[in-house]
Amino acid sequence: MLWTILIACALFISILESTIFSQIGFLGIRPNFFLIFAVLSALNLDPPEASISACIMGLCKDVLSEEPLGLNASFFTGIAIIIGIWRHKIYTNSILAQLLVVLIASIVYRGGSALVVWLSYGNLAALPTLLNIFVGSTYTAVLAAGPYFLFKTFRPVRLRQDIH
Amino acid sequence: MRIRKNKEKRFLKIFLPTFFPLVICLSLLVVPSKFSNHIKTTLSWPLVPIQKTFLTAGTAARNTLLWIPRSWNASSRIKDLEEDVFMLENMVVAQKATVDRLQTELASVTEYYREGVLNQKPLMANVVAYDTSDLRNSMLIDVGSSHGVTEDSVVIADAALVGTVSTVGKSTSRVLLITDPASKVPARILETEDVGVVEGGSGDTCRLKYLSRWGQRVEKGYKVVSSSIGDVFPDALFIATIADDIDSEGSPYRTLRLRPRVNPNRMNTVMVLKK
Repeated sequence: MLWTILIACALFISILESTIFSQIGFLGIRPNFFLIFAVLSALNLDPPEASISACIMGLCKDVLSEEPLGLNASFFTGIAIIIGIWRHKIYTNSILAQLLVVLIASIVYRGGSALVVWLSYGNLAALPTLLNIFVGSTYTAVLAAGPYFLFKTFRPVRLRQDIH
Repeated sequence: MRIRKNKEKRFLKIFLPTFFPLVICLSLLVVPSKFSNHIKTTLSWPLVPIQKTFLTAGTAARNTLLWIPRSWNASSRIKDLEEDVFMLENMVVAQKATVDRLQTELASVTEYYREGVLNQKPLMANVVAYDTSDLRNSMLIDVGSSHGVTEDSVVIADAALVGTVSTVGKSTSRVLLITDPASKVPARILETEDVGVVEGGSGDTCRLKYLSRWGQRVEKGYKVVSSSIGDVFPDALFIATIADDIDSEGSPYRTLRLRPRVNPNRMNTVMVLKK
């Protein structure tokens, strides 16, 4: 059930991000639903499941972008593993805590991506990149509230019992 | 003994499945780009019909939302005329550049130009999807190698440059837009004939770099057109207008911020110039 939902979500996000989301961007900046799902998986699922889930999300993003295959997948899996290690120190049942983790992860991810692009092509405009990192991360964190409730509803019963 | 067994069990149950995906992802990074591009086009191909439907629905929804206020003040006719004027302006720019050349260059050069343009066969394509990356700018179109598209084919829309084909699949291709950080287009300012390179940034704008600091005076609104240096782009395709001067002290070159003539996120059809 969990994997069916996650794969269905990955496909649905892939289609939305590559079509409609390009038209709802703010100053050319778009939210990153792949990252939201990778981070929320890390906060709500077991580390192995979270790692595989983040890997699937990253691969979907890689396939539909110009970036090298495996780059986003590596970033997402790395972020999911790090969050998985630290998640017991975070009050993960709170929506604010989860949105804050999404915000920090998004800043780290966008900053890392910008660094990779800058190292590869030496060609990034400073102001639009900083706007992309900070405005894009805030935009992503705000929109993470929707998937948070989805995870709250469909999270495995075993984990829910662990938390309560 | 028991502790050791527990450790082994924990390693096999938690650590191995957690780190295994990371190892796979990192190993994908060293796959040759030709092979990984092939994987990408093959995997994204089944999504194309759904993406087309979503994009059409999205465009229809956006047009409906735009149509309501437009019909309110009866300005749809104006919008249509504006689009025609936009198109004609782009064509005038290309024509003006040709006329300038004809006046200043020899007849043999003009003949070469005409042949160069006519050698490229146009092919209409629909936009299927956009890049999901946060900092890269590309789009997927529904024509590929089976239609005669090759890498580095030039893509235009409304007689203005959009980008070049970076990856070719059998029935789809990925277009690297002029706003992508990896894009580099030889260009010149129409009014002053100063030559530079148009490079993408991370947003919706691009930059004209490597202009001489001691060149002619440049003003806002001047037009930047493609240059045929390198034989990839046809001459005098409208690219962008100058928006701003970026002060880069200490550099021997001057950099200008450009506003692209066409917004790639707002187009449904493009034209590929086959080689």
